[in-house]
Amino acid sequence: MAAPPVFDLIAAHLRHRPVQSVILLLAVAIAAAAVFAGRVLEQGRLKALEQSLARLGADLVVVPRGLSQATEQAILTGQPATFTLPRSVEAKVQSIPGIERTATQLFLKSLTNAACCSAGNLFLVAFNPESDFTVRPWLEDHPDRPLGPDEVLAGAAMIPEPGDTLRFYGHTFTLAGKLAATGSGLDLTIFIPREGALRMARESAQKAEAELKISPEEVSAILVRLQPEAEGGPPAWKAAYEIESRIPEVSVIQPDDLFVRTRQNLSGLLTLLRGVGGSAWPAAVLLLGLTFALSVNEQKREIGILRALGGRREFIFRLVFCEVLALALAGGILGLSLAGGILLGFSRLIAVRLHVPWLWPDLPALGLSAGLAFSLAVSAGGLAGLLPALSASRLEPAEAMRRGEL
Amino acid sequence: MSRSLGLGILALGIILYFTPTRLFPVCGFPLPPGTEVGLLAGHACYKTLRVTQGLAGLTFILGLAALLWTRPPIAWISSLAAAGLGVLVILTPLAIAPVCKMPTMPCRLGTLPALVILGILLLAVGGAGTLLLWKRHGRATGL
Amino acid sequence: MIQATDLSKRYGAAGRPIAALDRVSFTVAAGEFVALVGRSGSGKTTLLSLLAGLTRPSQGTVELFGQDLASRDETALAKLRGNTIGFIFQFPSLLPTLTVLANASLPLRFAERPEPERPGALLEQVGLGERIHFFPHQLSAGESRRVAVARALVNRPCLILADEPTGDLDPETELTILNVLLEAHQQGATLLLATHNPALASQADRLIRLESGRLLNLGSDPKLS
Repeated sequence: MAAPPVFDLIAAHLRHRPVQSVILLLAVAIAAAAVFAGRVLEQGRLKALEQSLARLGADLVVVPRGLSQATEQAILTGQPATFTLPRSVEAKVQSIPGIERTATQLFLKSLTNAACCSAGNLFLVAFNPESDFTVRPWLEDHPDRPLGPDEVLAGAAMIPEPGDTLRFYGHTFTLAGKLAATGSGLDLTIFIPREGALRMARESAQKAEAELKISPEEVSAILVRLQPEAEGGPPAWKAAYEIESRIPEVSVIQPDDLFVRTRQNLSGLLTLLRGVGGSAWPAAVLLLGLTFALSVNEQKREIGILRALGGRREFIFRLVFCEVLALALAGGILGLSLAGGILLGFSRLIAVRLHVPWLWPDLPALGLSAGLAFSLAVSAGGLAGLLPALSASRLEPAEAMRRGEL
Repeated sequence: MSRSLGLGILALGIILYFTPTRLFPVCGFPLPPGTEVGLLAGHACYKTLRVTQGLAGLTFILGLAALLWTRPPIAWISSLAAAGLGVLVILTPLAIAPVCKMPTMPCRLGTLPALVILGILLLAVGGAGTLLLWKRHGRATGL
Repeated sequence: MIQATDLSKRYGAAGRPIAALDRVSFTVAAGEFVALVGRSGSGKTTLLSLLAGLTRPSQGTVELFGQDLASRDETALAKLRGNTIGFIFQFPSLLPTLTVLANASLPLRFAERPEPERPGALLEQVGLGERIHFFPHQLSAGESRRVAVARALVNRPCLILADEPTGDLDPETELTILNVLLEAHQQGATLLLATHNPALASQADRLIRLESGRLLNLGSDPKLS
């Protein structure tokens, strides 16, 4: 109670002008929210991509010519893709110098609106447990638990839990485990050992509502791991060129392709957010600065009275500056909360609609983004409040009271 | 103040009503009125839709009551009830009438978070209104 | 207590300045009650502002408590105003966003003096004990002036500068305010009161008459000519 009444006066001023305070607060909040949301979306995309590619384990993915986009969609969003190429292509790929190892996968799709499948339109990937890269981390984590032919693995976003049974084409599988999250379509994929998939196909004629025909001599994709460049292996782009030159019936997907595609998919939204943030910040500075310059002009008499009652110049400076800063701080907090809340609720929807893999960034990265957005908000207040505060503190008390009467 | 509160609750009621059918539709596309039964019957999100619409109707009525009857007890009770409805709106897609479990379903991607956010807003508006009106009413009556 | 020497204050553009005060010199002893009289525009408000250090003179000096105001820095002046001078403004001077109690407490807050009961007690004395949580817009003109008086006295100032504290007020309010000021004076405060009211002026120990910024006479004759 005995301290100079800076915060009492600030609170009273803000309460006295609620509409003005809310408008100024919102101006800052929009800038902070846009900056924070843009950074978090981009960081989430990069994290998910890194996890997805690490999970994929492959340096290159070989698919039938012209179907690289469908494959990318399957990896990014889990949208099933079904196509085949002869298994003999694998030997051709292996013959290219610099290839360390290969693994094949067969892409399948569960039946929609069929009782013989647990869920419709699911992306099923038949793989060879001994050689596949994608599920290798899980297999290595569970060495005493080899995968049986009627056991499957699921991506992190699938609802069933280990031990649950799943039916595809009338064949019953048991879920052995779930893979770690990648934020991509791999989280919505079921991985079936090739032997189990072949048996499922054989029995589908009797058990399923539609027969699944699989040839043992067909695959959908060939995953390629290159020799490390440090050991003389080729760069990915060169190996891809070699493969496509020597095997004209295939296309090769490189990790960069996924980065570029997802960046393109997200670019529209990011451009919008950058535009909003980029224009909202200077607008907030201008709005705050002008409003408080006018406010100081209106409150000249009040300032004069405060000086007359014992308030020093430094008190008046603090009064005006802290009021602007308080609004900027509150705006920053509001903006971060709004953006955080919207991302918390709708990040999955945004990712799915834009076909972009997405995971929440790590805490340090989130903290940095929040810190940056908050600093921008506070700096808006600091910049805007400086001149009005200086101007107010320099008013001579009697002059201020006299001018305040006009 | 009671009028502003009433308007706020009323507006939230209207938004809530159109959320599962138009704004963040449970099937991913806007549902023309009258088609909900045909399109959604048997799906978990159908129940979510109906319960939400019911809660929206109640919210609308409470908002109207706070708008028209500004006397302290009625406005105060309306706010308190609106806050309670906010809690129910939050719980509807999560527990009372849960949306489909599949993570890619539009009801889970869009409708669920939208209802949670609207529920939080309703809770905040109702709660704040209850507190402010109780303070004012309490001061006036010496409570 | 107060020594004003050749005090002048000019306003306006460099080519055509207006002399609000022109070479005014006088002294006021500690504990005196001096009435400052003159027509509107005679320079009373300007003089009181100069004495309180609210503005700087164009010429001349003001000594308060034996020290030239011009030699004090801004911090010292603010401290002087807050701790030793109680100023009652001619115009409505309550801060509109603060309650009556908060307004009356302001000087104590600036002086960082923990006397939480004092503002309430003074407000009680001026008859506003039940309105301490009201805002200025909820008060009448007379009530606002009474709050201003309480605020001016809250720090127990040794110098009270009152600029027409009872102008346009009803007789009852006028009497309340005057009694409070006189009580403070009787407790040892020096009182310099600008007024149009002859009856009020007649209660002073001395008169200082201003006309067009100039001092007309110094005397103890309470009758206005």
